[in-house]
Amino acid sequence: MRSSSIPTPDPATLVAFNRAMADHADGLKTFAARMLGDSLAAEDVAQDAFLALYRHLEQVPASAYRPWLYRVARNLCLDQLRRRKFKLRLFRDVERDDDQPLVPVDRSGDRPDQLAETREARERIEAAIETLPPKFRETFLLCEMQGLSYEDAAAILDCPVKTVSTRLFRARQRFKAAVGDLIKV
Amino acid sequence: MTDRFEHELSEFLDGRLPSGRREQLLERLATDPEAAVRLRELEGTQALARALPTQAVGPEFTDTLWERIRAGEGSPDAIFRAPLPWTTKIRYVAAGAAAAALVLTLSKFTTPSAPSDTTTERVATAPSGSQGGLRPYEPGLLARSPVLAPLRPETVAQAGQFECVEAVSALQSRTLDVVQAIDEVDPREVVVELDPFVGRARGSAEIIRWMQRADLVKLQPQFDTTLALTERILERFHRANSQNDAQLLRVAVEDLQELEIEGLRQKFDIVCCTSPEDFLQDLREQIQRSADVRRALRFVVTGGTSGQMTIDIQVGEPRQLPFGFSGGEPMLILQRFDALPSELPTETLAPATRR
Repeated sequence: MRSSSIPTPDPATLVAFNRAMADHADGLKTFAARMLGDSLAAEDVAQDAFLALYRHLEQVPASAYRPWLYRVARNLCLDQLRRRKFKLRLFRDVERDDDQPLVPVDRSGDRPDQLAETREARERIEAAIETLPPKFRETFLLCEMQGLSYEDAAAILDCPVKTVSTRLFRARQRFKAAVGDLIKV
Repeated sequence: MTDRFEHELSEFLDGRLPSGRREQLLERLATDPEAAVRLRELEGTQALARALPTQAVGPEFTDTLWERIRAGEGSPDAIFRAPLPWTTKIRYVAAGAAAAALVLTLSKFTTPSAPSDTTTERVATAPSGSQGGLRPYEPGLLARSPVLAPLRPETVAQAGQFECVEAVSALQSRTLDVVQAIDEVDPREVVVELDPFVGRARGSAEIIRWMQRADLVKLQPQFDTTLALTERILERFHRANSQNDAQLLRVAVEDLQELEIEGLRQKFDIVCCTSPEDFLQDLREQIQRSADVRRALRFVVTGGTSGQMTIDIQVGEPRQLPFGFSGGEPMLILQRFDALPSELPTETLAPATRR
């Protein structure tokens, strides 16, 4: 961690920062959780992203907070995945125990048969997303699930807007192929 | 139902289809039941994905964050670091520790934000018309955030060289990953993955060649030769893309793996100076002429009537070019730099670095 003292932001900037936390913290965590498959680590990523934003408040206009945060979160996730991959290569026989399942949905009000059906469907949807190729998956997560614009996704992924469109299309094709029977047309 | 039509449906769903095509598509949807079903499937796909629950942050999230802020904790290092595959790192380590460290740091994932508090330690410039040449990459200049630099021949040349090395390195790294997959997947999918890097590399090569033709820089023979080889390989990638040719793609990938990138790191000289106005005019023409050049250079615009700084993340979109801004001074985002700040005329420092 690089430590540095920075001036306290002006009140308007602080308001914008707090609003960004309220608006985007859950989305960031969800994005990171699906990138990492690890809910606890995802919360850390979300917090690290906001910490980084705070350190760069002077340089980032409020209108760019959201793509900036996602870009940082993505880098943090990729960094974690890379380190994890390296660890796995070194210790192939050591079972990974740091991955926590995604936080389950509270469906206590559902009937047991509905619960089973819903859980099964959800697991299939989660699996379909997880098995998308990485580039397609992150585009799918950003645009389809978090609702970011093509332009914001392009800035986050550092690729042309057209590439975002193509990746999203391919991701949707694959996702549909995997869970098409769940879609009610 | 063609792939292209389904792609258009996907763009239509996101409201991205141009109005002309949109009208045509709506007509078809009204008359073609199969097309209408495809659209409903796509909508169903979206609904399914969005039905997954959002994961809320814990109740201590905000308090913990403010505690960390108050404790003076800095940004995580990883936010400016490229997630490179280990195979690539090992290859670079084998090529030399300096090269490895360089690749780790010259990251495309570095956010093109304005400089942080550490970035004014070194800034990019050389005396106008310097005969001393630009220093090649040095490990000592690593792990720093990008800086803002004035648009001058020496800074643009540095940015072009940086971008060329970085984009070709990234391309080499990614082609290592896809080389096994070329026969198994649609070459277009591979090309889509590689295209941004091919574009950036081509654009940066174009910048260097333009400056060479304009007698603004003089390239060392090894640099010149390596750049020519690089251009030939990039042209193959480009043709493989336009012709959807897997064989050509394979040849390009193999040639790229053989390319000795060290040649692109050679020092080169600024041999002539030009008036700032003429240079900016010429640069503007290059940028307007080539989408690849637009991908390779990154700008911010500083100043303006509000006195605030505007940051434009360049993603190759012509409309984001800074030259249309009034009152702002276009500055180059430079990610490697040679000189100390004392060597830089103070008026060229970006306002954000002195606030």
